Amino acid sequence: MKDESMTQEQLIAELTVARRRIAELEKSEIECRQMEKKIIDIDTQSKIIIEKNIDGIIVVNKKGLTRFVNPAAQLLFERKAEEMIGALFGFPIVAGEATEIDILSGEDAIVATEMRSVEILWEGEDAYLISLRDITERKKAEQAIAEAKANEEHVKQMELELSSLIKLSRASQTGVTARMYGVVTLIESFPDTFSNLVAGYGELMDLALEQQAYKVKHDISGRLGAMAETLGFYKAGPRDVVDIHTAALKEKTRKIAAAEKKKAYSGEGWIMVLELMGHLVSFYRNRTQGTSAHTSPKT
Amino acid sequence: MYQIRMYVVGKTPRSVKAIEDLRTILDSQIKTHGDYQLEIVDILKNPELAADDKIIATPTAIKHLPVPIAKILGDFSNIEKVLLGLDLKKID
Repeated sequence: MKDESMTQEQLIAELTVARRRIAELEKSEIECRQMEKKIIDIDTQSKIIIEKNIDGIIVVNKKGLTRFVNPAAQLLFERKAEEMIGALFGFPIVAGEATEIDILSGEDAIVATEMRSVEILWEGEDAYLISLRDITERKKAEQAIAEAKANEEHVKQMELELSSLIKLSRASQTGVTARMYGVVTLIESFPDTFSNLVAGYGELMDLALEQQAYKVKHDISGRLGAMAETLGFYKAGPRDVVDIHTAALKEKTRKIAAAEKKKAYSGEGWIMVLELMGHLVSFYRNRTQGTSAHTSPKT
Repeated sequence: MYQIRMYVVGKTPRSVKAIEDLRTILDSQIKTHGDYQLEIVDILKNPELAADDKIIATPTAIKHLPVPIAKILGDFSNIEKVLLGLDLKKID
């Protein structure tokens, strides 16, 4: 009797445990379903995010085979998803955060792109999620900044050179020039002629720039030769040439703000001043030879 | 014999670096236990070859032999990743 009642109690206890266990399993199953739903929701949400992402996104498996391509990537490559899925894209190797690559877009366009890669689980398979961002505009901006910096440096250099030339031109008459010609500077002795020469030199600078930009041909060398003859006639020296160059360059660059044009004037100006010096040297050399030939006693 | 083909675009600093990086790895990891053949292809000059190998980004290296074919792209300075991607074994 006692044993029977014990058995009954045991049975009741076991039944209670079993019921509790069933309740726990039911709860666990509900939780499992909820978790599964959450996973599906996250997966769906992730796919929507990937699908709508403005960056190109490609998913490749561990063998490098393409598993997914979002619309932005299709646009970047100018290829349809069906052309790309299943094809061997390759194993992406990224150094640090991102690596720059070139994408062959369509038939012949090349797009500078930043590639990032993370390991993910894609539809139950280990994979790489590769994000691709078109950085063409950024590269152009970087290049423009670099060029602007280079131009700025060049302008600074040019201003320094100009300042040195001004100092040189304002320095007291060098002994050599003074002794050679025994005259003061052209700007002091013939200011009108000097102004005309500056204006003429400035025009030649414009022509030189035009020649460079539009590939037209002007007789700049011939006109510099004529200018050298005028300078020679007034017994001008190298300092006068520097004065003319400095005054013309100052006048030209004073009116413009664009660093690129200042750089162009500076570049062309240096070539012209050297050429004018050369013509002047030739002029004096010819005169010297002519004079010595004329004055040399006949033997 | 290992046969590897590398695709680049022109002679940009990035292309030159990628070639140098890959060559360094191949010299140190492959040459010691077998020869290799590395062919450099400029896709601007040889687009047909790039099309045959289905190249859509550069720099890309593709190992044709020994099979299986393996392809990598991006930065080639990391020895482990390059060897893993090209399915080559590292020499200890």
